[in-house]
Amino acid sequence: MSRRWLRGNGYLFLLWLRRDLRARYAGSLGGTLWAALLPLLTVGLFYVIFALVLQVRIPALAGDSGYFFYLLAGLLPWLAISEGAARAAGVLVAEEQFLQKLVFPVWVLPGTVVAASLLPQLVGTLLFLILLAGSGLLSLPTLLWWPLVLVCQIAIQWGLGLSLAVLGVHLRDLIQVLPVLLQLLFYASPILYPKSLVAVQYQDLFLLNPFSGLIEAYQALLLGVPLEASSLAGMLIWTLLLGGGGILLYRALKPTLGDYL
Amino acid sequence: MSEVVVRAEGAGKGYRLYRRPADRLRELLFRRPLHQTHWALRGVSLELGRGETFGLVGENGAGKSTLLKLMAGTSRPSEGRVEVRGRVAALLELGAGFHPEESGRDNVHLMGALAGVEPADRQAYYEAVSAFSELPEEVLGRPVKTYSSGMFMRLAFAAATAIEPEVLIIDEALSVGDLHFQKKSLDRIMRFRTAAKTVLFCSHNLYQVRSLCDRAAWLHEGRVRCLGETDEVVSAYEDYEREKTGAGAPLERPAIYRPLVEGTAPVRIASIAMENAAGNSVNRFESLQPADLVVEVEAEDPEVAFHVGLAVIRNDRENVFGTSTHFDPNRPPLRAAGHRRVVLHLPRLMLLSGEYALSVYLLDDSGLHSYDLAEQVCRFAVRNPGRDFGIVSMDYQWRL
Repeated sequence: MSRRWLRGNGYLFLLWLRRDLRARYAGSLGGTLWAALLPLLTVGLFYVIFALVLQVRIPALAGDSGYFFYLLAGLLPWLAISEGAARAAGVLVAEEQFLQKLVFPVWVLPGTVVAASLLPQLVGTLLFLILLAGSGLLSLPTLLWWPLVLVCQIAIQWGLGLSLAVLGVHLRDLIQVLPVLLQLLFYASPILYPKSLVAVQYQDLFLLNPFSGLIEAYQALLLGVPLEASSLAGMLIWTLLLGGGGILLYRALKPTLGDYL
Repeated sequence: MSEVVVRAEGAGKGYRLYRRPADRLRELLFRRPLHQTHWALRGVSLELGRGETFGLVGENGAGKSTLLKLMAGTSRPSEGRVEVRGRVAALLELGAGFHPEESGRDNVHLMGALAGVEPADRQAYYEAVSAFSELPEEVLGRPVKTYSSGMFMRLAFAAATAIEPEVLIIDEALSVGDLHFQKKSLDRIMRFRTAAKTVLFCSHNLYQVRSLCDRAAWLHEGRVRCLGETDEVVSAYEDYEREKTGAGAPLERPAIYRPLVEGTAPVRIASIAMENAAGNSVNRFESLQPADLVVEVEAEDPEVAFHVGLAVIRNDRENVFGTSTHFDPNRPPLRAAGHRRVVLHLPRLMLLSGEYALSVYLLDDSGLHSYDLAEQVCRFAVRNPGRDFGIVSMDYQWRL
């Protein structure tokens, strides 16, 4: 990967990202407002149902506000992951005409989708940190781990996004099925509830969920709740599997694109 | 041949056809072939040298666009190899990749990034595109969805060709925008040619292929049927087309002339006639008698330079004879204010008995772009009073 390659393709990547963000947020009146409003509605809904109605409590975090913070810490990365994956699967099909007519580095398309999915998370995390600081819950030492966990998340999303994009071309059904699968994974992740609410003999099953360890790591570093070593190991292993494996799968499948596009 | 810039070796492009979409996955998993392959292109080998202009002719679906795509790199060959040295600009579909909601400026920058314009050259590239497109800065700041189709095409053409490519690939994209811009874009293509760049293009306009290309290839059902000098290849293709439409099929078009571009051409054909030695307009001639082919040209602007091309066509569409004022490089182009009478005088009409028609072309000073044309009009018959037979009379002597 030469410097020249990086300069040229990096510029293209930024231009395409700008185009993607503009198309999504600048097209409609108050486009950015909608982008912020919908996740807020989701958060509000979950908060009312799980904290107020079902009275779910998080160990080590007190009361309704404790649940609210816990929910946010897990939901912020999850929304980025699910949006990135769902959009990446369809992005090559959506830009099919474009890829047929121009010489275009294919990875830029799922790559920008992943990058665009991170933007709401970054803005949200910033606001979340301000909220935590206001409540006196901000723990600065553990926060130093945040960039490292983010790198793991980006690696997972990148590998997943690239391979889903190519698979989406071969298996158009994937574009329909993926949102449902992601929905299932969402409820199978410790986002709405803490792992401790699940019977002990089933808790190891969370290691099979590629995003569970990552989300627990975010919760631990943002809220100072304890993190099990197995969850941390799970996160690292899944980062290698999905990040590295995804990129390898993309490289292996990319030559097959030509015939279908 | 000079240095080879484009090389195809046994290049083929096959599309896999599956009976069910799931077969595609099954094949991927079990590595058992479950498809039939449709070959859009197969076994194509050719080399283009630096500075060469190469034409592709053939029917629809013969694989021309597929071959251009392989050379432009938007598609990969399923077998064989295609290599291109240097930067390629492909006018396969103008405006592909333009986003309607984005401004002209942002679209141009993206096109530049796609074409690999160096960071230091980005501003220069943008300025070159904006100057060539003749769109003011205010317009370039607006979303391209607000552009007229002419404005859009101008910007797309400018963006595609401003990168100073080594190889230019054109798919029937010569008619861009209004007449002024059409001529300008053609001039730019001609400049690539004179600047010793390699130009590859496919066109249904065989006249354009003949006048632009050094060599040509005729693709038929995905294979190269004929490859070589332009005239040889185009003639072979014309023979094939004629045979397909049925040999000797009479001219269908009535001898009515319609202007090419309603009212907008700067130079127009006012009338076409055949005159005999007495200066009377007639449609019956005798072999070996004098004849005048008279074209009345109408022009408003004496600044506009033009050439006149004339062809005599037999009633089975075979070109019997054609010439143009621009075939002699020393002859300056014509100009006119108002009407101008252009005559091709034939001291002896060398045609034997048969039925014929005329085609007339008004061309720009490069001889490539037509301002106006009238094809297969002004029908006339020739009768040979003598007993020689055939199409034309030849100058002969018996040595007995």
